[in-house]
Amino acid sequence: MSYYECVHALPEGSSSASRMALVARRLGYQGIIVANCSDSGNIFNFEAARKVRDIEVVRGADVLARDRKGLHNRVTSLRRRVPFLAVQGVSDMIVRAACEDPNVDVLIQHPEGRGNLGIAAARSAKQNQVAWGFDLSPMIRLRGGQRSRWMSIFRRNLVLARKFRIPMMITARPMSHLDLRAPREMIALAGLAGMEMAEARAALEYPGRLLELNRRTWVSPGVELI
Amino acid sequence: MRSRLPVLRERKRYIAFEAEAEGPVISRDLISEFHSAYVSLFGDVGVSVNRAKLISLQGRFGILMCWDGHVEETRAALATIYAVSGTRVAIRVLGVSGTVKAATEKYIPKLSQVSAVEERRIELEEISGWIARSRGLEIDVSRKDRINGSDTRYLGLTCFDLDGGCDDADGTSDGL
Repeated sequence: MSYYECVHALPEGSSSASRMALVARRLGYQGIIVANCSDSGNIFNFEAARKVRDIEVVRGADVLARDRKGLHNRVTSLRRRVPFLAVQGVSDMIVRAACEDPNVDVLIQHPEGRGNLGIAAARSAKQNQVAWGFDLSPMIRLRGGQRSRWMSIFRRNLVLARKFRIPMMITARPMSHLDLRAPREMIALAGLAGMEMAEARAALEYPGRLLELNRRTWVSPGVELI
Repeated sequence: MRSRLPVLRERKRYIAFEAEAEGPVISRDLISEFHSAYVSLFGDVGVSVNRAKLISLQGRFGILMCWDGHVEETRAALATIYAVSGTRVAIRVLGVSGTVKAATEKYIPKLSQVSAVEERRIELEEISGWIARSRGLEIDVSRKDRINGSDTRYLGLTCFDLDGGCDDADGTSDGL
Protein backbone atom coordinates (compact mmCIF):
# COMPACT_ATOMS: atom_id res chain seq x y z
CA MET A 1 0.00 0.00 0.00
CA SER A 2 1.51 3.30 -1.03
CA TYR A 3 -0.70 6.23 -0.21
CA TYR A 4 -0.13 9.64 -1.74
CA GLU A 5 -1.60 13.02 -0.95
CA CYS A 6 -1.84 16.04 -3.19
CA VAL A 7 -0.83 19.18 -1.25
CA HIS A 8 -0.56 22.93 -1.79
CA ALA A 9 2.63 24.33 -0.31
CA LEU A 10 4.02 27.83 0.22
CA PRO A 11 3.39 30.38 -1.28
CA GLU A 12 -0.11 29.10 -2.08
CA GLY A 13 -0.55 27.39 1.26
CA SER A 14 0.94 28.24 4.64
CA SER A 15 3.38 25.35 5.09
CA SER A 16 6.52 24.59 3.16
CA ALA A 17 6.83 21.45 1.08
CA SER A 18 9.32 19.99 3.57
CA ARG A 19 6.94 20.55 6.51
CA MET A 20 4.18 18.87 4.54
CA ALA A 21 6.52 15.98 3.77
CA LEU A 22 7.53 15.56 7.43
CA VAL A 23 3.96 15.52 8.67
CA ALA A 24 2.74 13.31 5.82
CA ARG A 25 5.44 10.75 6.56
CA ARG A 26 4.46 10.72 10.22
CA LEU A 27 0.84 10.13 9.23
CA GLY A 28 1.71 7.14 7.06
CA TYR A 29 1.90 8.48 3.52
CA GLN A 30 4.53 7.16 1.14
CA GLY A 31 4.59 10.30 -0.91
CA ILE A 32 3.22 13.75 -1.49
CA ILE A 33 2.59 15.61 -4.70
CA VAL A 34 3.12 19.34 -4.38
CA ALA A 35 0.55 20.58 -6.85
CA ASN A 36 0.33 24.32 -6.57
CA CYS A 37 -1.78 26.26 -9.02
CA SER A 38 0.27 26.94 -12.12
CA ASP A 39 0.03 30.73 -11.76
CA SER A 40 0.76 31.06 -8.03
CA GLY A 41 4.53 31.42 -8.43
CA ASN A 42 7.42 29.13 -7.62
CA ILE A 43 7.13 26.62 -4.79
CA PHE A 44 9.09 27.84 -1.77
CA ASN A 45 12.27 25.80 -1.27
CA PHE A 46 11.07 22.66 -3.02
CA GLU A 47 14.52 21.09 -2.97
CA ALA A 48 14.48 21.15 0.86
CA ALA A 49 11.54 18.74 0.81
CA ARG A 50 13.63 16.17 -1.05
CA LYS A 51 15.95 16.00 1.97
CA VAL A 52 13.19 14.47 4.08
CA ARG A 53 13.93 10.77 4.09
CA ASP A 54 11.53 7.85 3.54
CA ILE A 55 8.97 9.86 1.65
CA GLU A 56 8.74 10.67 -2.02
CA VAL A 57 8.15 14.31 -2.86
CA VAL A 58 6.97 14.98 -6.40
CA ARG A 59 6.20 18.20 -8.17
CA GLY A 60 2.80 18.34 -9.82
CA ALA A 61 0.51 21.05 -11.11
CA ASP A 62 -3.06 22.06 -10.44
CA VAL A 63 -4.55 23.94 -13.36
CA LEU A 64 -7.15 26.60 -12.72
CA ALA A 65 -8.44 27.84 -16.07
CA ARG A 66 -11.36 30.03 -17.04
CA ASP A 67 -11.93 28.85 -20.60
CA ARG A 68 -11.27 25.90 -22.87
CA LYS A 69 -8.41 27.53 -24.75
CA GLY A 70 -6.63 28.62 -21.59
CA LEU A 71 -6.95 25.12 -20.19
CA HIS A 72 -5.56 23.53 -23.33
CA ASN A 73 -2.59 25.91 -23.43
CA ARG A 74 -1.67 25.35 -19.80
CA VAL A 75 -2.10 21.59 -19.93
CA THR A 76 0.02 21.32 -23.07
CA SER A 77 2.80 23.48 -21.63
CA LEU A 78 2.85 21.69 -18.26
CA ARG A 79 2.47 18.10 -19.47
CA ARG A 80 6.13 17.55 -20.30
CA ARG A 81 7.36 19.24 -17.14
CA VAL A 82 5.35 17.47 -14.42
CA PRO A 83 4.35 13.84 -13.92
CA PHE A 84 1.04 14.76 -12.27
CA LEU A 85 -1.45 17.17 -13.76
CA ALA A 86 -4.76 17.98 -12.11
CA VAL A 87 -7.49 20.32 -13.29
CA GLN A 88 -10.03 22.03 -11.07
CA GLY A 89 -13.53 21.55 -12.42
CA VAL A 90 -14.76 25.09 -11.85
CA SER A 91 -17.42 25.12 -14.56
CA ASP A 92 -19.30 22.75 -16.86
CA MET A 93 -17.19 23.89 -19.79
CA ILE A 94 -13.90 23.21 -17.99
CA VAL A 95 -15.16 19.82 -16.82
CA ARG A 96 -16.01 18.77 -20.38
CA ALA A 97 -12.75 20.15 -21.77
CA ALA A 98 -10.66 18.41 -19.09
CA CYS A 99 -12.43 15.08 -19.60
CA GLU A 100 -11.81 15.30 -23.35
CA ASP A 101 -8.08 16.02 -22.95
CA PRO A 102 -5.93 12.87 -22.62
CA ASN A 103 -3.08 14.99 -21.22
CA VAL A 104 -5.07 15.62 -18.04
CA ASP A 105 -4.46 13.11 -15.25
CA VAL A 106 -7.12 14.05 -12.73
CA LEU A 107 -10.18 16.25 -12.78
CA ILE A 108 -10.86 17.51 -9.28
CA GLN A 109 -14.45 18.07 -8.25
CA HIS A 110 -15.08 21.65 -7.19
CA PRO A 111 -15.69 21.92 -3.42
CA GLU A 112 -18.79 24.05 -3.95
CA GLY A 113 -20.27 21.60 -6.41
CA ARG A 114 -19.76 23.82 -9.44
CA GLY A 115 -18.98 22.04 -12.69
CA ASN A 116 -21.51 19.30 -13.30
CA LEU A 117 -20.00 15.88 -13.87
CA GLY A 118 -22.55 14.45 -16.28
CA ILE A 119 -22.82 11.31 -18.38
CA ALA A 120 -21.08 12.88 -21.39
CA ALA A 121 -18.17 13.99 -19.20
CA ALA A 122 -17.98 10.53 -17.63
CA ARG A 123 -17.89 8.85 -21.03
CA SER A 124 -15.09 11.17 -22.21
CA ALA A 125 -13.17 10.68 -18.96
CA LYS A 126 -13.32 6.92 -19.39
CA GLN A 127 -12.19 7.14 -23.00
CA ASN A 128 -9.29 9.51 -22.24
CA GLN A 129 -8.26 7.89 -18.94
CA VAL A 130 -8.95 11.00 -16.90
CA ALA A 131 -9.47 10.14 -13.24
CA TRP A 132 -11.93 11.96 -11.03
CA GLY A 133 -10.56 13.47 -7.87
CA PHE A 134 -12.86 13.87 -4.92
CA ASP A 135 -11.94 16.74 -2.65
CA LEU A 136 -12.88 15.83 0.93
CA SER A 137 -12.09 19.23 2.45
CA PRO A 138 -15.79 20.26 2.50
CA MET A 139 -16.44 17.17 4.61
CA ILE A 140 -14.00 18.60 7.16
CA ARG A 141 -14.82 22.29 6.88
CA LEU A 142 -18.55 22.48 6.25
CA ARG A 143 -21.34 21.80 8.72
CA GLY A 144 -25.08 21.22 8.47
CA GLY A 145 -27.01 21.87 5.28
CA GLN A 146 -24.00 22.90 3.22
CA ARG A 147 -22.23 19.64 4.01
CA SER A 148 -25.30 17.51 3.29
CA ARG A 149 -25.71 19.25 -0.08
CA TRP A 150 -22.06 18.62 -0.85
CA MET A 151 -22.45 14.96 0.18
CA SER A 152 -25.42 14.47 -2.14
CA ILE A 153 -23.36 15.85 -5.08
CA PHE A 154 -20.47 13.59 -4.02
CA ARG A 155 -22.73 10.53 -4.04
CA ARG A 156 -24.17 11.41 -7.45
CA ASN A 157 -20.67 11.73 -8.92
CA LEU A 158 -19.63 8.51 -7.22
CA VAL A 159 -22.48 6.61 -8.87
CA LEU A 160 -21.35 7.91 -12.27
CA ALA A 161 -17.71 7.03 -11.59
CA ARG A 162 -18.72 3.50 -10.62
CA LYS A 163 -20.99 3.08 -13.60
CA PHE A 164 -18.30 4.13 -16.10
CA ARG A 165 -15.43 2.59 -14.09
CA ILE A 166 -13.53 5.85 -13.91
CA PRO A 167 -10.47 5.75 -11.67
CA MET A 168 -10.97 7.78 -8.51
CA MET A 169 -8.68 9.74 -6.25
CA ILE A 170 -9.39 11.30 -2.88
CA THR A 171 -7.60 14.25 -1.36
CA ALA A 172 -8.12 16.75 1.43
CA ARG A 173 -6.33 19.43 -0.65
CA PRO A 174 -4.28 20.57 2.35
CA MET A 175 -3.08 24.16 2.35
CA SER A 176 -1.28 23.69 5.66
CA HIS A 177 0.21 20.77 7.58
CA LEU A 178 -2.77 21.07 9.93
CA ASP A 179 -5.08 20.24 7.03
CA LEU A 180 -3.38 16.91 6.37
CA ARG A 181 -5.35 13.87 7.49
CA ALA A 182 -3.99 10.35 7.95
CA PRO A 183 -4.92 7.72 5.35
CA ARG A 184 -7.21 5.85 7.75
CA GLU A 185 -9.04 9.06 8.56
CA MET A 186 -9.41 9.82 4.88
CA ILE A 187 -10.85 6.34 4.35
CA ALA A 188 -13.25 6.86 7.26
CA LEU A 189 -14.38 10.22 5.85
CA ALA A 190 -14.79 8.82 2.35
CA GLY A 191 -16.77 5.94 3.84
CA LEU A 192 -19.20 8.40 5.41
CA ALA A 193 -19.58 10.18 2.09
CA GLY A 194 -20.57 6.91 0.41
CA MET A 195 -17.36 5.25 -0.77
CA GLU A 196 -16.60 1.67 0.08
CA MET A 197 -13.43 0.95 2.01
CA ALA A 198 -11.72 -0.82 -0.92
CA GLU A 199 -12.62 2.05 -3.24
CA ALA A 200 -11.23 4.61 -0.81
CA ARG A 201 -7.98 2.65 -0.45
CA ALA A 202 -7.62 2.39 -4.22
CA ALA A 203 -8.36 6.10 -4.50
CA LEU A 204 -5.54 6.93 -2.09
CA GLU A 205 -3.16 4.64 -3.94
CA TYR A 206 -4.11 5.97 -7.37
CA PRO A 207 -1.67 8.94 -7.52
CA GLY A 208 1.25 6.58 -6.83
CA ARG A 209 0.21 4.28 -9.67
CA LEU A 210 -0.30 7.26 -11.95
CA LEU A 211 3.17 8.64 -11.21
CA GLU A 212 4.70 5.28 -11.99
CA LEU A 213 2.91 5.16 -15.35
CA ASN A 214 3.72 8.76 -16.25
CA ARG A 215 7.42 8.28 -15.59
CA ARG A 216 7.61 5.65 -18.30
CA THR A 217 7.95 6.72 -21.94
CA TRP A 218 4.90 6.00 -24.02
CA VAL A 219 5.24 6.27 -27.80
CA SER A 220 1.51 5.82 -28.41
CA PRO A 221 -1.35 4.44 -26.33
CA GLY A 222 -0.27 0.98 -25.10
CA VAL A 223 3.22 1.16 -26.68
CA GLU A 224 6.13 1.81 -24.33
CA LEU A 225 9.67 2.78 -25.25
CA ILE A 226 11.97 0.57 -23.16
CA MET B 1 -29.15 -2.61 42.25
CA ARG B 2 -27.65 -5.63 40.55
CA SER B 3 -24.92 -4.94 38.11
CA ARG B 4 -25.38 -5.84 34.49
CA LEU B 5 -24.15 -9.25 33.40
CA PRO B 6 -20.63 -9.11 31.97
CA VAL B 7 -21.78 -10.73 28.72
CA LEU B 8 -24.33 -7.97 28.23
CA ARG B 9 -21.81 -5.19 28.72
CA GLU B 10 -20.64 -3.45 25.59
CA ARG B 11 -16.92 -3.40 25.03
CA LYS B 12 -15.06 -0.16 25.03
CA ARG B 13 -12.22 1.10 22.90
CA TYR B 14 -9.73 3.74 23.88
CA ILE B 15 -8.38 6.01 21.17
CA ALA B 16 -5.04 7.64 21.91
CA PHE B 17 -4.64 10.88 20.01
CA GLU B 18 -2.40 13.88 19.60
CA ALA B 19 -3.86 17.37 19.27
CA GLU B 20 -1.50 19.26 16.97
CA ALA B 21 -2.50 22.87 17.50
CA GLU B 22 -1.28 26.40 17.06
CA GLY B 23 -1.89 27.17 20.72
CA PRO B 24 -2.86 25.45 23.97
CA VAL B 25 -6.00 23.31 23.81
CA ILE B 26 -8.30 23.06 26.83
CA SER B 27 -10.01 19.70 27.37
CA ARG B 28 -13.45 21.29 27.94
CA ASP B 29 -13.28 23.10 24.60
CA LEU B 30 -11.98 20.05 22.82
CA ILE B 31 -14.76 17.75 24.05
CA SER B 32 -17.33 20.40 23.22
CA GLU B 33 -15.95 20.67 19.69
CA PHE B 34 -15.84 16.87 19.34
CA HIS B 35 -19.44 16.60 20.51
CA SER B 36 -20.51 19.29 18.08
CA ALA B 37 -18.66 17.56 15.21
CA TYR B 38 -20.17 14.19 16.13
CA VAL B 39 -23.72 15.54 16.33
CA SER B 40 -23.25 17.35 13.03
CA LEU B 41 -22.09 14.14 11.34
CA PHE B 42 -24.30 11.47 12.93
CA GLY B 43 -27.11 13.35 14.66
CA ASP B 44 -28.58 12.75 18.11
CA VAL B 45 -29.27 9.08 17.34
CA GLY B 46 -25.64 8.50 16.48
CA VAL B 47 -24.49 10.16 19.68
CA SER B 48 -26.85 8.04 21.76
CA VAL B 49 -25.48 4.84 20.21
CA ASN B 50 -21.85 5.76 20.74
CA ARG B 51 -21.37 7.73 23.92
CA ALA B 52 -17.78 8.75 23.40
CA LYS B 53 -16.06 10.68 26.15
CA LEU B 54 -12.69 12.22 26.80
CA ILE B 55 -10.76 10.26 29.42
CA SER B 56 -7.69 12.46 29.66
CA LEU B 57 -5.82 15.24 27.93
CA GLN B 58 -2.31 15.97 29.10
CA GLY B 59 -0.48 18.52 27.04
CA ARG B 60 -1.20 17.59 23.48
CA PHE B 61 -1.81 13.88 24.08
CA GLY B 62 -5.16 12.49 25.10
CA ILE B 63 -7.33 9.40 25.32
CA LEU B 64 -10.92 9.19 24.15
CA MET B 65 -13.30 6.35 24.97
CA CYS B 66 -15.86 5.03 22.51
CA TRP B 67 -17.90 1.86 22.15
CA ASP B 68 -16.54 -1.07 20.17
CA GLY B 69 -17.86 -1.02 16.62
CA HIS B 70 -17.93 2.76 16.46
CA VAL B 71 -14.20 3.38 16.17
CA GLU B 72 -14.34 4.39 12.51
CA GLU B 73 -17.17 6.82 13.20
CA THR B 74 -15.21 8.35 16.07
CA ARG B 75 -12.12 8.54 13.89
CA ALA B 76 -14.11 10.36 11.20
CA ALA B 77 -15.58 12.79 13.73
CA LEU B 78 -12.09 13.52 15.09
CA ALA B 79 -10.87 14.14 11.55
CA THR B 80 -13.54 16.79 11.00
CA ILE B 81 -12.28 18.91 13.91
CA TYR B 82 -10.23 21.73 12.41
CA ALA B 83 -10.44 24.44 15.09
CA VAL B 84 -11.00 24.54 18.84
CA SER B 85 -12.18 27.93 20.16
CA GLY B 86 -10.68 29.70 17.19
CA THR B 87 -7.31 27.93 17.37
CA ARG B 88 -6.40 25.79 14.39
CA VAL B 89 -5.97 22.17 15.42
CA ALA B 90 -5.55 18.76 13.83
CA ILE B 91 -6.35 15.62 15.79
CA ARG B 92 -4.03 12.76 14.93
CA VAL B 93 -5.12 9.30 16.02
CA LEU B 94 -2.07 7.47 17.40
CA GLY B 95 -3.74 4.12 18.03
CA VAL B 96 -6.70 2.22 19.42
CA SER B 97 -6.60 -0.09 22.38
CA GLY B 98 -8.90 -2.09 24.67
CA THR B 99 -7.73 -0.63 27.97
CA VAL B 100 -6.60 2.76 29.19
CA LYS B 101 -3.39 1.24 30.46
CA ALA B 102 -2.49 -0.31 27.12
CA ALA B 103 -3.38 2.86 25.24
CA THR B 104 -1.19 4.91 27.56
CA GLU B 105 1.76 2.54 27.50
CA LYS B 106 1.66 1.90 23.77
CA TYR B 107 0.83 5.25 22.27
CA ILE B 108 1.34 8.11 24.72
CA PRO B 109 5.02 9.06 24.90
CA LYS B 110 6.44 9.39 28.40
CA LEU B 111 8.73 12.18 27.33
CA SER B 112 7.88 14.85 24.88
CA GLN B 113 9.94 17.84 24.03
CA VAL B 114 8.49 21.12 25.19
CA SER B 115 8.19 23.70 22.46
CA ALA B 116 11.09 26.04 22.73
CA VAL B 117 10.57 29.73 22.15
CA GLU B 118 13.48 31.33 20.44
CA GLU B 119 13.70 35.06 19.96
CA ARG B 120 15.02 34.77 16.48
CA ARG B 121 14.02 36.50 13.33
CA ILE B 122 14.05 34.85 9.94
CA GLU B 123 14.84 36.89 6.87
CA LEU B 124 14.66 34.86 3.71
CA GLU B 125 14.10 36.00 0.18
CA GLU B 126 10.42 35.07 0.11
CA ILE B 127 9.42 35.13 3.76
CA SER B 128 10.31 36.88 6.96
CA GLY B 129 9.02 36.70 10.53
CA TRP B 130 9.73 35.60 14.09
CA ILE B 131 10.15 32.00 15.20
CA ALA B 132 7.10 31.39 17.38
CA ARG B 133 8.12 27.89 18.42
CA SER B 134 10.08 24.88 17.30
CA ARG B 135 9.74 21.19 17.91
CA GLY B 136 12.28 18.76 16.54
CA LEU B 137 12.76 19.71 12.92
CA GLU B 138 9.52 21.63 12.75
CA ILE B 139 9.45 25.40 13.07
CA ASP B 140 6.44 27.71 13.28
CA VAL B 141 7.04 31.25 12.11
CA SER B 142 4.68 34.09 12.91
CA ARG B 143 4.08 36.78 10.36
CA LYS B 144 2.39 40.12 10.75
CA ASP B 145 0.54 39.95 7.49
CA ARG B 146 -2.20 37.41 6.93
CA ILE B 147 -1.21 34.28 5.06
CA ASN B 148 -2.95 33.93 1.72
CA GLY B 149 -5.15 30.92 1.12
CA SER B 150 -5.08 29.56 4.64
CA ASP B 151 -6.51 30.44 8.05
CA THR B 152 -3.44 29.47 10.06
CA ARG B 153 -1.60 31.91 12.32
CA TYR B 154 1.85 30.51 11.64
CA LEU B 155 3.88 29.51 8.65
CA GLY B 156 4.95 25.88 8.92
CA LEU B 157 8.62 25.48 8.05
CA THR B 158 11.38 23.03 8.88
CA CYS B 159 15.11 23.17 9.57
CA PHE B 160 15.61 22.01 6.00
CA ASP B 161 14.06 25.27 4.76
CA LEU B 162 16.33 27.47 6.85
CA ASP B 163 19.79 26.02 6.91
CA GLY B 164 19.66 22.77 5.03
CA GLY B 165 18.69 20.63 8.06
CA CYS B 166 20.76 17.97 9.72
CA ASP B 167 21.64 14.75 7.95
CA ASP B 168 21.18 12.43 10.90
CA ALA B 169 17.78 13.73 11.90
CA ASP B 170 15.05 11.15 11.80
CA GLY B 171 12.31 13.75 11.56
CA THR B 172 10.11 12.49 14.38
CA SER B 173 7.71 15.01 15.82
CA ASP B 174 9.38 15.00 19.19
CA GLY B 175 12.93 15.03 17.93
CA LEU B 176 13.89 12.63 20.69
